[in-house]
Amino acid sequence: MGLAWKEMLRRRGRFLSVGIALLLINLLVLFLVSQLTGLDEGQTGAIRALDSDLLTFDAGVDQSLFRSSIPVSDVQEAEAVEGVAAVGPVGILFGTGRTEAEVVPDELFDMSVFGYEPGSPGEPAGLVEGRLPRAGETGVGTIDETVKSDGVEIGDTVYFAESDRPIEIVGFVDDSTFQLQPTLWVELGTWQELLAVVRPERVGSEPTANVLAVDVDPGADPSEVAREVDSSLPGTETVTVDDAIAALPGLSEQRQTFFTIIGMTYLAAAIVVTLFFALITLEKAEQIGILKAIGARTRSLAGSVLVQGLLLAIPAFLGAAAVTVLIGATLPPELPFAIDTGAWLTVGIVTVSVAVIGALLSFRRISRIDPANAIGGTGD
Amino acid sequence: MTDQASDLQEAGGQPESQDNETAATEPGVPEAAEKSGVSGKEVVLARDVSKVYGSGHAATTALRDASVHLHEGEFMALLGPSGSGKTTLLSILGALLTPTSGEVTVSGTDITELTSKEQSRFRANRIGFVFQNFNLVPFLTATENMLIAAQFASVPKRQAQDRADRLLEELGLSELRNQIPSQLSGGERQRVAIGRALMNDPDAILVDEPTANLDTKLGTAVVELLAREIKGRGKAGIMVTHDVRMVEFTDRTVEILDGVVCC
Ligand SMILES: Nc1ncnc2c1ncn2[C@@H]1O[C@H](COP(=O)(O)OP(=O)(O)O)[C@@H](O)[C@H]1O
Ligand SMILES: [Mg+2]
Repeated sequence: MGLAWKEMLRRRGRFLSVGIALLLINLLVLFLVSQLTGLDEGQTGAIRALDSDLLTFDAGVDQSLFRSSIPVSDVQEAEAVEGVAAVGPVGILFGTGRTEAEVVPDELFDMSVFGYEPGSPGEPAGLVEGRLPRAGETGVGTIDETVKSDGVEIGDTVYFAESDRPIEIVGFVDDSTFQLQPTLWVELGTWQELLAVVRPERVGSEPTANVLAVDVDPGADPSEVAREVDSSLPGTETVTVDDAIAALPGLSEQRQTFFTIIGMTYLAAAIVVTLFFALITLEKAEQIGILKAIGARTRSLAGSVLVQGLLLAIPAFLGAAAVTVLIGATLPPELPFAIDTGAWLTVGIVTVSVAVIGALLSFRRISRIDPANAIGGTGD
Repeated sequence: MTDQASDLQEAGGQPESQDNETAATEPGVPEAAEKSGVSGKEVVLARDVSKVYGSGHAATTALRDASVHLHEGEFMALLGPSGSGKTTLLSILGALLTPTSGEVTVSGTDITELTSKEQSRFRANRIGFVFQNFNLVPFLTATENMLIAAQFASVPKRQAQDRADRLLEELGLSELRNQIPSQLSGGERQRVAIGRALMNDPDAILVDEPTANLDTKLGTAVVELLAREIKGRGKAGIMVTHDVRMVEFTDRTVEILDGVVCC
């Protein structure tokens, strides 16, 4: 093992260049992974903030949060279903927000409004400052903290789309953006008022929401309960929150695109490592023959290569991780970037595996080198 | 592992620790010189050794019923034209190759029946090699190049270091101990290689064309040194050479032609 380390130390140039190549590849992968995580989180934050187990959609809208419409009265029926703990209506509107009463096109920002019943499923998790609207308290809202960078503070007033209904900000929640836009959380009454202005065609004889947020009893099987809800409430489609997220338009395509790029990057990493070890093994064939002749075991020579692979991969990954964290800290907050420890760990494991496989591929070559060739030179 | 170790012992091999004891307590050249001379006990014994490479039409008989014997402190030259089987014979005596038939014992160990694992253990502990080319590990210093031999034979670090220090001094390499091969001359490199070959106090020293890459003066010095070390330490030494001038430093010469050992 000492031999492996000494070789790396004394032939710094070659090992360092491969190490740096691996580090850069890792940097690229970690950056991509973090961007994907950031994009994913930015698109799904509000859905995850609902903090419920199931979402009930209007059947036949293909789980579109935007097109789904469900009578608020369905809440009682859904609550009666076996295995359901609690149900809350959730209304959703997409549009623009503004902080001035009059509409100044340059001052608009994209914003969604989620209406919910305080105290019921659908109330956002992740309050970081201030408070949430209380039951029946109209004209107040809690907003995603990303608007802080636009200068919005507690006590400010925001307006939604063309509505002139002032809504006072009483708190901030985190990780609750939807389609990368901040979400304003209001109680359902306020939301109905906005709906009447923005989508008057949706206002019928009875109040509606877009979906129902359903919590299941502890220990109940969510997909089982989802089926029960759908059979009790005709014309509904109930899915788990994870499935609803996966069905968000563009999300799975986005993930696929990123995974393809990451996969290709790893392919490059695998080729770099494998070729490197193949080349240095080839170059050292003579020397390996000599070492075998004077008693080195194939296993320990192969072990050296493995150690070198690990000594390249582990620091390359750790170095890349450190650099990615630094880059992440300097990125402007609008850029989607989030660190998911689990995903990073996977990157680390894959990097190490790639190095190990690269090293393993040179084992066969090493074991084939015949120590008898060490003697006799190039023929006399 | 243990199985293999005991196999080796059964086959007549010395356990390492004993080797190391010898190495550590050996009083050096002068005393060892007393036991030199052709009257010592037989170290290398090869009888009717044949080696056939390949099979069928492609079969080449590289060695035909070759017999060689060497005593402690005896230095033998192996002379023969190219392709006559010198390397093959040396490889068989050094447990690098298994003969097709025949008997080879080194200090009582029958080496024709060893597994490849046992062969490499045997080489590490009992044989010192000096090769013609690519001899040393290029990124290791003179000392380290000698120490790896001890490492392969699992000699404890301190003990190996002591022995390396003494050998470096004897071989006049003390000043050069921390130089890497590219900083050494050809003759100095061969001296380091000789030091490495002596590291584990082997029974036999096998040398292949040690002077091929050296000028006559340096070559002579290297062979002189080899002869002194081999005879002084009571090793059995075999040197393959082309160069008839080197023969004067050896005790006797064996010639080989078309795989047949004569004289
Ligand atoms: N690995 C091998 N496979 C087939 N033939 C070999 C091999 N090694 C040596 N030979 C043949 O065996 C004969 C003896 O070779 P060698 O022992 O290398 O002779 P020398 O060292 O005297 O030149 C030659 O004819 C050579 O071609
Ligand atoms: Mg030869």
